Amino acid sequence: MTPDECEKLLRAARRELEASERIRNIGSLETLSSGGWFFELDALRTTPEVISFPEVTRWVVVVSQRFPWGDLRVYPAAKGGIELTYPHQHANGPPAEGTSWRRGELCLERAGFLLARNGERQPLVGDPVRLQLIGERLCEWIDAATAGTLLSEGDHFELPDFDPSDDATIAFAEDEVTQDAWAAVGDRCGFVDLAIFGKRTLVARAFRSVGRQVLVAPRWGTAVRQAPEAPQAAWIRLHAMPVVGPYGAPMTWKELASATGDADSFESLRERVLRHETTEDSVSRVLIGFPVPRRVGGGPSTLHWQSIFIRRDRIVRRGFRNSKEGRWRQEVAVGDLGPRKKLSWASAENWSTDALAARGRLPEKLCAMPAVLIGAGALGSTLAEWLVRGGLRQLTIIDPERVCAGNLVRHSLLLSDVGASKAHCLASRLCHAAPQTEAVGIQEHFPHRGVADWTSSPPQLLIDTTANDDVIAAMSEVNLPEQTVFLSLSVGRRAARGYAYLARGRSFPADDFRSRIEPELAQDRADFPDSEDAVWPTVGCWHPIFPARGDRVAKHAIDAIQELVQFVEDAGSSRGLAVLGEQVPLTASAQRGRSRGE
Amino acid sequence: MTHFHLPSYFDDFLAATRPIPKQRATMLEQHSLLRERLMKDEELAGVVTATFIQGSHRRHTANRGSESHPCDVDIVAVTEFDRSARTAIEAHRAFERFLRKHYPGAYKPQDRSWCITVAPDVKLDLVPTAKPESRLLREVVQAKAVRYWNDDDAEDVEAAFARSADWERSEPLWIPDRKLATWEQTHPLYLIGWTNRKNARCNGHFLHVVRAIKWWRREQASIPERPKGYPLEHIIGDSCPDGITTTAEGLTRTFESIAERYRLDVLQGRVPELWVRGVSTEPANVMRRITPEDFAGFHQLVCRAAQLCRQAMNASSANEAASLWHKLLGHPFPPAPAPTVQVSAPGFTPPRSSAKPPAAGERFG
Repeated sequence: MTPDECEKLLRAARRELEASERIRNIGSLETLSSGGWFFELDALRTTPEVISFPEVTRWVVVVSQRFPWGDLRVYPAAKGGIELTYPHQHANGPPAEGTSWRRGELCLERAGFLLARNGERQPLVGDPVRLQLIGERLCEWIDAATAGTLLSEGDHFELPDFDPSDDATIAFAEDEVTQDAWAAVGDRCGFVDLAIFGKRTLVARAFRSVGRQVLVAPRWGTAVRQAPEAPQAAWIRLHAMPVVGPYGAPMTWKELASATGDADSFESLRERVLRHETTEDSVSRVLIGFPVPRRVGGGPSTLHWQSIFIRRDRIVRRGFRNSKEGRWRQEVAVGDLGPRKKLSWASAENWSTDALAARGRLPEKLCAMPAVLIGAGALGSTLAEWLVRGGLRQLTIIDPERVCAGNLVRHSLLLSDVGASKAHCLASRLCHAAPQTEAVGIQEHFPHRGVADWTSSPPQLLIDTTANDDVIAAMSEVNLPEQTVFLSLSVGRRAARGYAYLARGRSFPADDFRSRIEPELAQDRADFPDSEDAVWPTVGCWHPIFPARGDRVAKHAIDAIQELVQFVEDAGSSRGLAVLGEQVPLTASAQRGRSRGE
Repeated sequence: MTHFHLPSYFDDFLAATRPIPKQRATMLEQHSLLRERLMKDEELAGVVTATFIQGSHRRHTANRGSESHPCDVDIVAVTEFDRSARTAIEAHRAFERFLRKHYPGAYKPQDRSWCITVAPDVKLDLVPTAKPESRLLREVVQAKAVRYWNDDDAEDVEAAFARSADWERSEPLWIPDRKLATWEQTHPLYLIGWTNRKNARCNGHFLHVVRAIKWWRREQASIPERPKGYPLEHIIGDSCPDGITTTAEGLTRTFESIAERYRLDVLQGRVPELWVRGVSTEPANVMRRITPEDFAGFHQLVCRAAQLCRQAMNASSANEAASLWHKLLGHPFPPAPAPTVQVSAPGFTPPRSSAKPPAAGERFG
């Protein structure tokens, strides 16, 4: 659509708002220098106040130049708009330069907190009627804000917007396990070990007392444990989440202290951890922790941390003594610790397994299994990647080979890994796929020297992706002390089919495996004769390779995960072979493999 | 009682009746060219001492042009002509050779200006003036904010006005009326300032009311030839009440005010006398060219328009109001929409249950 067409649609949609009894004084359509438009309007409150809210409030609607596609945002107007922050609203700070609206955008379009509650549909992106629906949502938001029901009991809990200005991100791992640990800790402040991760992420590795004893140390994976150390920060634990007004985050020390409900106690905790003998000892960051529930009205389920960055005064100013007391007075009077100084909050993320796996996670029973992967090739690398990303925490990878450039067409490793050990590179990569992952690479043939340790620390999941009969035989000769889940995964010619053999026992049932797979391989050979497919990768090499596209290999690896999940969850199943992705005509949809199990 | 002011409808109407970018570009290009030519002309270079833009274009009271109603840019050419030494007719005629040379076949004389057609929908009006008699006026017409203006500089003009009261303290300019064979006073700079102040007192809606009534006039199937142009704008300026908060209100109350204010004049078969703004001695009557019959016919149409406006303001729904305004102002005013999405009942719906995330089946990233 042309810009003129978009504008015409927008103007027509804006006129529809006139039909609302609660929307008035629609302002002229103004063009944004960056593209798009904005206009103002008044919205009327019609419900009695439970929480103070003006009868008429002015709002600015900012519209994308791609209307009815693109963003559609509603902000309080700089003149006549609300100045406090409410739930389901971004931090409502003063207007950015050059704009006539405050920063507190309302969550109207994506969040279903209003609509889903009443079973109504979401505004339609791509349909001009979305402007009218946004107008209705605005009025509903106002009603809910007035009635104090923007957050209702049972709603999913949402943090206030701390409006981060510090470009660091603070990561921590808090869940119900650490919640129990904190419950046993009486300390309200102390110091926290930080590690620097990536470009600007600081990970809280361990919380210590003022005397530097470890109080709570979450379980971290290899990558976080080995990350470089960053300067320590202080921490202060509050009894409740600090909130200003309806639902604003504190923006100054004074607001923060007041929001705790006991400003004097907070000040004394702050002084305890931030006042130092020397400037070299002083910390530049303090983590503020508070309990949060999963649901509104529910009990606290975990601790949440937000970080404040503090520019410590390194120079003693005139009028202040060069002593511990003097430096503290200076910082509190004129430095970053002053009562009205704007707090420099950082973004915060909970990196616990529960929090990160919200978008999709394998069953905990599988995730908790210590696993061994024999074969870090195309199949093994894809399988391992998605098992780890799905939550598998402990993985040992055994493969004697080095990475070749030719591997990369269907491998998860990179050009920078060429020449290095497949097992080591893959383990290193997987350690960085999830913060709780512990992955180790062993560049040896199986059985490796460490197999002797399996007597005391056996794997609970043993995966073979080598398609190598030697490995099958070796697995069958290993006697494990406990029942183990075995998965042998391979692909046939052209990767048209995959073969996922699953079994339970103390050793791999090689005979059963062969009896099941041989007929399938024979069929495979019949369907795809040797002469049709063999290619020679380089001049002078006698041994041919057989092409199998990376996406097909990956698909079998991913399909095998589903088979594995079902097998693990079904304690009654003992062994079986699943044939994955039987080749079908291109016009038909892909089939899942049929399972020939018990 | 709820009044339907429909500000978004009026905003769209005003956007649809504003000169289009191409017209604005043509006006800017052509008036710049004319002014440049005047200053470089071998005969007029020593005569024309300054040029500036006046009129509805500069006051932002002009509508979109068409072949039947072209956009109109007034260019004042301040000369060294001494009123006592040169007649109005001579001063007017002094520009003919220049126009013949640069705009052959595209110009024609008007009573107090030369009309130059530069595009089917754009014309220029060249208005000569006599030599400024005071130093203050000579300085004012040379001022940068007066001379260097195009319609993108609206804020600069207002800021300049805010800074300089000199413009309005200066005396009027004398322009030649070849029909009356006399020099007449006019104060375009005062008028620009007056219009800005009136607009501020009307919360930015006075200019909208002027444009809307000019457009209404254009849409009438049959309307007397006069009043139009500046006399019409003058009537609106006298009748539009201060403090209006919307264009709809301004339009309604202005029509009602015109209807009431001049009712007696019409009954008595007279045309009211309205004096040029900013001229204190011997001001001209802006209404002198209007006949009593024309004014009576105009007044009758205004009375009907006032009734229609009031009906629209008192309509029972936004759609009904939109239909009535559309009837008054014609096609650029958006018609009422066809019935579309059912608007849910107003009022607060208490939550029935806690909020759930969107149902499965939606696409996600």
